[in-house]
Amino acid sequence: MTGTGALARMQAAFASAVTDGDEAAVTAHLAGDPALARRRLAIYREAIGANRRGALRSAFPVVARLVGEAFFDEAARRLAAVAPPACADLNRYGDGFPAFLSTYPHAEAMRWLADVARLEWAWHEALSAADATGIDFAALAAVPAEEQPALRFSLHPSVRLVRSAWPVLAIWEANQPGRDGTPDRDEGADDVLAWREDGRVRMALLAPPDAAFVEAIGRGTPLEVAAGSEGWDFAPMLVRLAAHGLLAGFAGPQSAG
Amino acid sequence: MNSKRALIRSALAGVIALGLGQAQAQTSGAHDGQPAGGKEKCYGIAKAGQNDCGTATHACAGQARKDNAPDEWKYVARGTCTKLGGKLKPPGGK
Repeated sequence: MTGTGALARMQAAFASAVTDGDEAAVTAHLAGDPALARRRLAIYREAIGANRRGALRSAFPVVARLVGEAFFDEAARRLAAVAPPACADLNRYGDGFPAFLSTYPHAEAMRWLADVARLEWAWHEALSAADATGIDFAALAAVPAEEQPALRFSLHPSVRLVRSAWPVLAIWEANQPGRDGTPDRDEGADDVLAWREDGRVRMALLAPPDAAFVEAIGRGTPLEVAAGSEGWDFAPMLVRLAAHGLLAGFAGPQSAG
Repeated sequence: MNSKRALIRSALAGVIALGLGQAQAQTSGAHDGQPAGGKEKCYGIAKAGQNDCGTATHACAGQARKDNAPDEWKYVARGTCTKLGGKLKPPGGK
């Protein structure tokens, strides 16, 4: 037990040295010239930093393009310091980046930047979300009319909704490869639905009531409640979700909970 | 509310008709991969290099680099956001 305890301590010291730069605890374990050992540690540190930056850049290509390399790398360095990866799979690293950007003082002049990051993270999550078999339409057809208002749908695991006060979809589009970064619109409050279909991530702008409906459905709200107020027809949005295979299942009133 | 129930009934009928229609199209081989009502503007882009586990950044790349203290210029955005400039309107602003 003492052996494994000592190994765990040494590994923790090494991790601290290469991620936090705290070398004091690990240098005692390093053989040879201490100066050379520290230079070697620096190689590990830089490689880990570069891999994290790379993962972030891969998940947030538009943010990276918007702010430029130096700004992005420094933001990435600071994110790693306050919110290091929680999972060994670097594809999952970056969920904290939008929130980080929303309070990053140097991004204050770009108040839309955090929302662009949210959109990119939605895209990124949609890409690797689980598959779903799709709703059983025959079973849905068999639901008695009196139980229909209480139906609660579940959405495809890839569905993400980003509601922003800024024209984030226009900014995103303008920063795709081949575009020069100038958005077609400079105003708008974009509600964007992102999902995966046929192996590709798709995004579409929703009208605010449609977005509110999708949001409610996604929370498991009964259809009657999600249907919202008079004067707006939720049916086209529901059919649209079904058409894209985004209704994953449903539950009736008897299976509540 | 009766009108709402009627709305729900017709909406579900639409969903079911679409779903059963899709299933029929698939079994008869007539499904062309285009979802019904797929005329809206949407974007389908596959991300390149998503499986890159970091081999492009070889550990040796770290040898030439030093842990410099952040410089002021690292806080200045110099990407395509300069094209956006002050053009974006704040929420609610006209």
